[in-house]
Amino acid sequence: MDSIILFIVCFCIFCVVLFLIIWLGSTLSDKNKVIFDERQLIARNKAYKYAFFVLLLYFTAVEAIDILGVLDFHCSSQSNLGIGLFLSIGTFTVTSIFNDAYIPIINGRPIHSIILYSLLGFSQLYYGMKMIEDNGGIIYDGQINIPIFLSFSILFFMMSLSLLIKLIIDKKASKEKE
Amino acid sequence: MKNLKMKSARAALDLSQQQLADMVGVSRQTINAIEKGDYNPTIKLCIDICNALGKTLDELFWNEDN
Repeated sequence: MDSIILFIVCFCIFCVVLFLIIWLGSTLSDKNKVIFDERQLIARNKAYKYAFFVLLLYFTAVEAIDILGVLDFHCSSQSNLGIGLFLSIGTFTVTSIFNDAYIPIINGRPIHSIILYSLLGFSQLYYGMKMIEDNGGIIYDGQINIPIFLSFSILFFMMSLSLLIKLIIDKKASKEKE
Repeated sequence: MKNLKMKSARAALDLSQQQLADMVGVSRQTINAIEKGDYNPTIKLCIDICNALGKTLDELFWNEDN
């Protein structure tokens, strides 16, 4: 009982601290604030909707497969979470990027994000592969255990690649006469 | 449906898409989407674009086929 109360108190303090950091950050960075125009807001809202339904469909499919016992093996909850987050966040990001409603595209500094996401992808890939090596493979304890790091490394590489493709498309389009 | 009237009005004033976008407070891609007919702007944005180009709503956004 005491540990539950302690957990709740620590969680509340964490939320308050996080809120203060975000509030301070947004207040101090007013100058560089990204403002989305009406078309971009609509595009982002659509992206959120697609991401939500992708996540919903994925978890529905996973549960259905589990309940029906279609496959002889099943994924660990960590693997399911990682794949679900990867699909959902990836859907949102790619949809936003190709609708010109993603912050690095608007700020005109996609190169920085491409480099950052690539570095994050490589770091997550390293940790993911290390975990697989430590566990002696993906399948253990009778279930598939894909490290969450691996899912996120693929996500970051996908985001980086999407930004790169968009950058190339935009550069080609700007060379054509308006 | 492409908005050629808006494109020609912009060209008549020798404005780029980026310049018009800056004048009305939207992104260049939004102006491009309106001209290509991929996006229907709100009435507020239509009015802002008309004011920037010195045209009326009918001159820029009325579709004769309607």
